[in-house]
Amino acid sequence: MSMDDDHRSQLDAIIRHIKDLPTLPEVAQELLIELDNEDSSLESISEKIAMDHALTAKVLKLANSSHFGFNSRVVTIQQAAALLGVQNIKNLIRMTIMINRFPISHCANFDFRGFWRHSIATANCAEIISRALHMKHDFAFTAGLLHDIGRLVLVTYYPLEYAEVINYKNLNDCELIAAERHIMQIDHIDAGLILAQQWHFAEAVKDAIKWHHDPDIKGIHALAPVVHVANAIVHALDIAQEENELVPLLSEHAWDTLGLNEEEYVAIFKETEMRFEALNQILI
Amino acid sequence: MSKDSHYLPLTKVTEGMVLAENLLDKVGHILLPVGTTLTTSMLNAITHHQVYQLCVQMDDADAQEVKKEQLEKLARVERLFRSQAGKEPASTLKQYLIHYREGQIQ
Repeated sequence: MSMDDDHRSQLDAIIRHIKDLPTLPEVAQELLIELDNEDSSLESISEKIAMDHALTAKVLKLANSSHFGFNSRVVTIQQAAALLGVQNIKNLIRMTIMINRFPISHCANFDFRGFWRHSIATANCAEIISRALHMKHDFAFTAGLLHDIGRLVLVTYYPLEYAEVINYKNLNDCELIAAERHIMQIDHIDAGLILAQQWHFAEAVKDAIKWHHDPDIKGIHALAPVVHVANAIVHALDIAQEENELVPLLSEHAWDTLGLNEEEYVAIFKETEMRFEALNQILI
Repeated sequence: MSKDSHYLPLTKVTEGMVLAENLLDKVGHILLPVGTTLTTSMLNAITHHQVYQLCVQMDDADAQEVKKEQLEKLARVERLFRSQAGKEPASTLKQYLIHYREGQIQ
């Protein structure tokens, strides 16, 4: 079998597996669609949150944490939503829905905690960057949160192969994506895009998944370079707490496109770390 | 928050620690003012207010612990950027990060 045929059959197998993935429950799907609608009111979101006890508890905790809240006592979803603002509430729901979606994999070497630490921090960092650039930040958060989601797909369905990927990465001190391509012939971008299709992610989010390692292509969504740089920053901030953490190749084109200065970057580092600490205590 | 204070989850706050910021209730009234030395009964009462973190003053041991962590973070930077030594724009990002980490230590 040629390399191409091999790649194709791997992809087909993954597509078959993903069709078995639990679909998002109806309430979650409704919520995600509602969240993408800019006009959705705080009231209608609050109502939906109130239907889910676990989510309600998380929203209240966040409102009562010192970075987002004000060391004050917040007891109702309506108060919490008003205090945190629509954006923070929406983001918290997105994270909660995604984190609970994947069954625990039996891949011994995969660090789930590190994975989510990295994803949550990248989501926040991408949103902070897009705000600094005066871009629409709604999709920035989602794109940052899901940029590596293909890793979870691979590790969930191919735990043995993925353990090999991690070994290869550690032995060769390379980026994970290179190890994935070497061992499995496919990578987390392929897998992430298949999931994005299946779960009807927005085009902007798909572009960010597709190009976050290679944002120099012309005509892609402006979010791709934002997620690319956010990803590098979060690796550089060492947030996943992985011993072999490595800052991936940083694209000059993406860096120049953002055009931020040192003062802005330092503010982004600080805000990313502070927000992450507040969320970390609630989510992971 | 000043340099010699830090946020701690309520479970790690113990009797005798000193509040480094006013603790407010939901309408902005002061529950406990800055400088209050916390007692066990205060901490129990706070639990019922759904407060999860408090900003308290650091003692010398805490301050040293934090400084040690920050020095370790600074020392890790070189290793994190090991695959892109001397390459741009990674070197610029690295410089910004070093300045940020140094700023935390001062």
